[in-house]
Amino acid sequence: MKTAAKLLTVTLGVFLVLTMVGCPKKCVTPTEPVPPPPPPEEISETPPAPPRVEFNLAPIYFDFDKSDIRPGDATILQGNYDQLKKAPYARVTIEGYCDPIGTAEYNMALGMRRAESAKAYLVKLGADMSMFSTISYGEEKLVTTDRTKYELNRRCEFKVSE
Amino acid sequence: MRVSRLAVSKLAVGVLAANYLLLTANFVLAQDQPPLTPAPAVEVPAEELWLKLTSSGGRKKLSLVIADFKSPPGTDAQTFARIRDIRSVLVADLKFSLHFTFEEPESGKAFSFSTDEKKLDYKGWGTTGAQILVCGDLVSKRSGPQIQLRLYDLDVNRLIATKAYGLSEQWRWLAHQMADEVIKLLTPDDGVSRTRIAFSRAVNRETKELCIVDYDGANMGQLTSSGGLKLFPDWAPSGAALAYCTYGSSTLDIHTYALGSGKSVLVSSRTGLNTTPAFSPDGRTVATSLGFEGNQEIYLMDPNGKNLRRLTNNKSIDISPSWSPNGRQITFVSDRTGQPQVYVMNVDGTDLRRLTFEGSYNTSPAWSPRGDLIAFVQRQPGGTNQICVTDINGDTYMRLTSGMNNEDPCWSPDGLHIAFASNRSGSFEIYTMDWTGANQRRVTNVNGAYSPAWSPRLSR
Repeated sequence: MKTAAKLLTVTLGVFLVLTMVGCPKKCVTPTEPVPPPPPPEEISETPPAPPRVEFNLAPIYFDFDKSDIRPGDATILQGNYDQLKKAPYARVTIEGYCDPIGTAEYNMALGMRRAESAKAYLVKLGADMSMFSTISYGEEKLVTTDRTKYELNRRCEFKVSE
Repeated sequence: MRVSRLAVSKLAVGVLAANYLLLTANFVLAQDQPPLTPAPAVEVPAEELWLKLTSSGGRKKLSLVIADFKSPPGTDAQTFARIRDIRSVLVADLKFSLHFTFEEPESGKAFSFSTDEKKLDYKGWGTTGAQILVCGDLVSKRSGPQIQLRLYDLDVNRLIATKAYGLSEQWRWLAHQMADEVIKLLTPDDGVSRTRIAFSRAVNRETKELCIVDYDGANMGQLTSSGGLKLFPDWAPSGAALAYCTYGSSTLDIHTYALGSGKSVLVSSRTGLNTTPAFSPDGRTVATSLGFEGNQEIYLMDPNGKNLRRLTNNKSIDISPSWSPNGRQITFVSDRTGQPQVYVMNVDGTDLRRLTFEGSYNTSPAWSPRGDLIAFVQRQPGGTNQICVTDINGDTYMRLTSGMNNEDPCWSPDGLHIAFASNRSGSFEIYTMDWTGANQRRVTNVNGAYSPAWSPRLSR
């Protein structure tokens, strides 16, 4: 069996060389290499891992110097909650951020209050408080310095770790 | 102890023109600021504030004339230039101090009057109108070259003081030492020539490191290089350490950095934000804002983070504490009315009162080491943040800056100058100005400098 395969390969190789040598210049050489044979499939007895929940937790945004959840963002939080409901084991860090309009020290606290505000809303929807931790980055991690898009900086992001 | 601020404000205006000529390479005068006319606060004319702040009349400023420093024939060019540089730094320090007015000899006669110790031309120097003559001579001693500094009283024609300074590689420090000793001798105040400004520098988008620079912009250096965000530095009154904030795995923590060893020690890593540390004037206590009990409150703790005492108790943000110089009161920011405003309370949390009422956003208070003023940042109707000063009763206040954003005020140890961060050049840099808003000067050029902290007087 092994010998047969070897023979075949050699024959094929010789044939390829011959055809290439015998070919006039206009002959097109194959650009794609011959793919190696696929490795034999391993048959495993262990059951497949449980299907991973793919989180797609959307950020929410805030008005200047505010930490209230706006109606549109409440809808987003509901969507985030619907996902988290299926994964009660998840650990979620809520990160609060600010734009650079205010001042850095106060913004550090304001970012925290935004994170706490988002957490409180999710808990009110029914989430387990113990799945969340909160932190603020104040105005330290801007997503944009374009003044017309400063709202994008006034945000909460939701990061999942299991 | 209490020096008339009215007198000082008048002096600041008088000194401006002279300072303009003397700007060294380290100083860049603010482009978009009109320093002669600090923008008055909406309600309060400047004069009214200064009058309120000054019950008694002002001390008369001494006028100085500073002769060229002399070196003996045959002095090498390098030493000659060094002597000239030392004089330049001395003059810059004395002008910055706001304690003096300055006279120059009439043009043509410039510095031709004799400074010879044996036959000083009192009459010639007297014609300048100055009260004090400052002379410097390079002399060779067995221990090495020295600068002999001499001060003369031109009113009574006599030598007041003389002191020799050994020339060294640390020549800028030497000049600063001369300036501080002249100020100490001639005024009731101590100078701030030997002070530095620590700040948080953006190294890249993800990283801020602690840096330090002389008050006049020389000797810029980076203190830390461990990565991460290092924020809100504050000096220990000893000048040996800085408290600052940086992120732990899930919290914003307070560390102290020792300038001698270059080592940082974790001080507080309680849940949430451990932020805005502020050493008490005696260095035995740190006021801070902690969030581990639900929201940001003001606490006192020992410098090692232990022995916690809570001062505020409400559902609002309480942050950015700053001590009165006698250590009995703390000014801080609270948004308990719905918007951030500046408050004052006793160190035990009693006698709370609101200090700022104008505007919807007042933050970053800094209590002057003289005790009479509190600097803070006020958001303007036009959308920028500007630095103001108010008297400690909150009766009157005055805006000192205009134009782009001017934030993070902190005081020089003599309470006559304010360092702050401004983005007037495009990126944030550290600037200094007089407490009246005059003489705004750029100190850094690092494309991202924040949160200045003016050192106490340093011994080196």
